[in-house]
Amino acid sequence: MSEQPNAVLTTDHFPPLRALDFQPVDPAYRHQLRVGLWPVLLLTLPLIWVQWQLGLPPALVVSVGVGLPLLLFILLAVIWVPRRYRYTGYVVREQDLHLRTGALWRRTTSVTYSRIQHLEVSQGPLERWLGIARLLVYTAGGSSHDLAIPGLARDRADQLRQHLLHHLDQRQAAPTEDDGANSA
Amino acid sequence: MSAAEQKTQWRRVAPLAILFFALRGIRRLISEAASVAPLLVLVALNESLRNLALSYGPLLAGVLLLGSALAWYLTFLYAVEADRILLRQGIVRRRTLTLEFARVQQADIQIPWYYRPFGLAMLTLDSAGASGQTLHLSGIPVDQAEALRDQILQVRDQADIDPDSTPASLTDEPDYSLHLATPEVLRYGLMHNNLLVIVPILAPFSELLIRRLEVVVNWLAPDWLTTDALTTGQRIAAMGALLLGLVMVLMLISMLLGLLRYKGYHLQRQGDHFRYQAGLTTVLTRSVRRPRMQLITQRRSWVGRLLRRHSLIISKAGDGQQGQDSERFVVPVLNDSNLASLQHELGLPAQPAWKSVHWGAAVTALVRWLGLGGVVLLWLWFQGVPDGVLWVVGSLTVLVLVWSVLSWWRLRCYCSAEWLSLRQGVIGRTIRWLPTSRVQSVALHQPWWQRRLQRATLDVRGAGGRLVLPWLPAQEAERYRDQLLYRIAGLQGL
Repeated sequence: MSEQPNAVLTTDHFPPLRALDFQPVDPAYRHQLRVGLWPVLLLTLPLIWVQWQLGLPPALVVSVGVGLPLLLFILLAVIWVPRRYRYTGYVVREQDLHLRTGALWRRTTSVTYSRIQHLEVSQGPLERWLGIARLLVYTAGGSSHDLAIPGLARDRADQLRQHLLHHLDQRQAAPTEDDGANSA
Repeated sequence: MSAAEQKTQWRRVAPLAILFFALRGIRRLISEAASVAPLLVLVALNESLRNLALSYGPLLAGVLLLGSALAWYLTFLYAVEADRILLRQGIVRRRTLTLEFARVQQADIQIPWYYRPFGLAMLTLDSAGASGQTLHLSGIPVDQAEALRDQILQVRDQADIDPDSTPASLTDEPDYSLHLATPEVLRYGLMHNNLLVIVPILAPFSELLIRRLEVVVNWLAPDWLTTDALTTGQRIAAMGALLLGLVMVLMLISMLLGLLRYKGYHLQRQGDHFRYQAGLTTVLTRSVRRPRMQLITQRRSWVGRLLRRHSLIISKAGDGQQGQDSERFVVPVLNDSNLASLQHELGLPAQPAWKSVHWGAAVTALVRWLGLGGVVLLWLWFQGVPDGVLWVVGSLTVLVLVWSVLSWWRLRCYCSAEWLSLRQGVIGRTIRWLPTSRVQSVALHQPWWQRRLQRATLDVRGAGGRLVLPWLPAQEAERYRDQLLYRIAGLQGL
């Protein structure tokens, strides 16, 4: 195997990922995010307990113990959720699939079709109620999924899955190609 | 002959395989011991149950083990077809396993000591994929095992699309060969002393252990340690010498284990095939093809640094991070010149242009540990623990901080069109090489502080492991990501 530590490729060889290409997810995803914030409210219990131990007056204990988590919940719901929703998006290109997510901790995950092993559309009870689903993309190696696109409208998720499967079938139909999938 | 008949010609392995099944049963029993522990405790506590277990237990266990080994043997059937192997096994639940040769990641031949006089061998096949399964075909003649292995490798290679794969005949003269003499193999035991891990685990119990040790010493040489003739200093020295002796014994055991596994180590390359053969009691032949290499790990522990020796491990798909050396393709001991030549054989760059990591990585690590240490210290202070404890926790925090800065200081990364690499380690050194053609997915992380500083962290996953290249210049990371995706989009499979 020839080794070229500094092989030069011109930039137009590898199409850059542009911010404009990202498609937004379903607005219902915001509700899912808000409902997902409920653990914040659990802070109430330790807060009340600590204040009780310090021997503060009951009125203060209840107002701080309930008020603080509630305030945090509202702040997150009003500021964090819209930001996160706005930034979450995906791109389906000819050769690869990308997901962008995170409000403060931004993350862009990319998988090429050539490496996809299998796909899953998953829908929890809340997601079912909201009419959205998530698409899970698996590659070889890891036991967990490599990429999960959340907040897709149910038919959009199925459509996307069909599109990807179609691509995978086409690749596998090509001769002399080893799909490398897991054996039965 | 009908098609169905033609397809499945079930065969049985040699009867000696009963021994293999029995040994495997014992091994499984030991690994399952944790789940039956409550039952054992119950038996041990009740006197009548204990007596019953002591008098009939061994007999019962022996009969059960032999019986089930016999049943396993009788129900184990295999069939070899042109491009796949079928196994039928299971006493209660019959299962038929099918493994296509094209999916085989690794084919090992092992000759355990109890097979050697009878010319038998065990073929172990590892398949690709997330739930990588291992298939043992134990108790077949050695020449049959070798023929089957070669058949598998041949079928598999035809399935590969790698353009520069040359169908090398395995009987040809090797292109590269490496022998390890016994003194070299003994060094492996010193370098990878897994038993020394016991020492920090036992450290909290050291007082108890030393007391036990004193009891033993007292029994061996009465009144030696407790005599008033010994000063405190002498006593401490004596205990230190005893502990040192213990460590030496552990080292010796480790060296013996290393010898058991890697005696007579011989590595060969023929075309794209790398193959090694080693072992004292059980001789293992393991091979890997270049296109199947998922991750190459080059290790030098602190002992290795003293001995000026390295190890190299080649991971295949599904090995992940937690795989053991016994399941991987290992080159146990390499001196500098051997390492250089093997690196050349593997196509690793001889003089990689290592890049140091942005100072931000050190700052985030510092902030993380400082925060954690601060919270713990504050909490302890509120609890009103004695000052001594606070001092210990404080100095531990400082130690961790210094360590994290040193780790950052020594951290290097390297990206090229062919390889991604990360070099880590303060005293020892680990270099992990991920071939860019084996990349499975790429993620770009950018917390807000990295965004401010125009930096990004590249998280690259392969089927054999994951590399995280921290704090690269954001634009460079994005360009490199695009380049990686472009490169792997055209490749298929693992």
